[in-house]
Amino acid sequence: MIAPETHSALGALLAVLLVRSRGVVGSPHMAVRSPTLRIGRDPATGLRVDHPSVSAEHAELRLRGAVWTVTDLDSVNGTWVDGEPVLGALPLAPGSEIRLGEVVLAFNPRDRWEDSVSPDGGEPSLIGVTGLDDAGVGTGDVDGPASVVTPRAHPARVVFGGYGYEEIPAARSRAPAIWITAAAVAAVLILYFLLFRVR
Amino acid sequence: MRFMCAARTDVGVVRSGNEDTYLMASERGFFVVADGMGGHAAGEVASEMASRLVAEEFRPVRGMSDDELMAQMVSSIRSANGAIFRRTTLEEDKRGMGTTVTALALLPRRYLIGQVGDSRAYLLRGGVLTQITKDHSYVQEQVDAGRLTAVEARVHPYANVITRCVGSNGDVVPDLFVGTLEADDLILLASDGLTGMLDDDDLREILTADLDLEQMIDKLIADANHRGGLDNITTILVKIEAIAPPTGEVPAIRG
Repeated sequence: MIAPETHSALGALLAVLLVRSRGVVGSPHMAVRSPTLRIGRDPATGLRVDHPSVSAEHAELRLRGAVWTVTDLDSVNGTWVDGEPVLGALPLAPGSEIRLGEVVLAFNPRDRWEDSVSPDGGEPSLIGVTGLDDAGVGTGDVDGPASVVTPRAHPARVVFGGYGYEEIPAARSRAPAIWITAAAVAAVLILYFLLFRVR
Repeated sequence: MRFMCAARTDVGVVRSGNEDTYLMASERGFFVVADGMGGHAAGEVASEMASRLVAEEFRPVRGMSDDELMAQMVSSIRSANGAIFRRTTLEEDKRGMGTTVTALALLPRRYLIGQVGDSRAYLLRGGVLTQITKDHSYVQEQVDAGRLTAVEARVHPYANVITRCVGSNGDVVPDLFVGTLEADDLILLASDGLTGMLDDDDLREILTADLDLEQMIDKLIADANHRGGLDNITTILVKIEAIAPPTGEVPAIRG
């Protein structure tokens, strides 16, 4: 369910940095594939930003829990997030602008479900689906071919416990309806005959 | 269905604040564990908002189909995500906050769980402990890809990194887990402060001991603190005592 390219040997894509400034050598899209990563001009850093205002090791991105933070590594020209200077570890919001010296980067974290749901909003992956119906009604084809359950809002994954689904015999669960119908028919017949006799 | 439930949260040994929230709506069989993240007490806000909003939105009505129930679980988690995300964009000190959500709904003879993040649900049945949910975490992905073993994953430096989160993005897609319930089933919901400190064997040992629910929870939290208590510890236990008989519709005739 996760596209193969996102699971390359480098690790899954966790975030993307877009270079907003001109005059920076290299790709405008920088992929973040590690929960801890240094940014700087030094080719040995995880993310290389080749610009004269960027220090060799300029800043560090770190993911803890689900929160991305950026820390300035005593760079010469400093680091800002949305115009605020970075002192200590500053949390990043999706779309935050990170400025390293004169270079502006836009930060875009990825939630993994974005990779697991096809862009056209197609079918979710269903694992181990057995028939599932309203228990009160009972279902006739529990052991039949896996029925595709399509919730209106697509969950990424639906797992039905491997404990088997309890089948309720349709006849038994529908018994009340049958008895009520039978009683109603009988009552109508009795009334009809009573009235008929009275005449 | 008859059930008993108990819950407790503990700050742990290392953390100064408790960012976990649990919610028990026992009158309608709905339970949430949420583990929040973010500085300046933002994690507390995120987990409190998530558990409250999911419980407010998830309002099953008698006779709803399973499709509708699942869609409602998904939409309630997504709407909580939207509300939290809006706050992260409006309030400077809430930047980056997010939370896990593990929401359990007891339905007639079944459970429905909505899951985002690395809080977990376990089922103990017949002395066998099974993890129902699957973590949305960096190490879980590495395990799935065959690059880490489950044992290595527990001590990995990125063990706390989650890859799906309520509130940190504009939208989220929860996983759903559905299964049948039997009498004497015991369901455990826990944040990673518990499951990170105690492995499945430790959990099974405590959950199969001859204790009542409160004693089990006290022991789970005490043991997790004893192993280091590196994170907030939150636990909910739900013991299914009796399941409605399959002929549950019979009373309708009398009434």
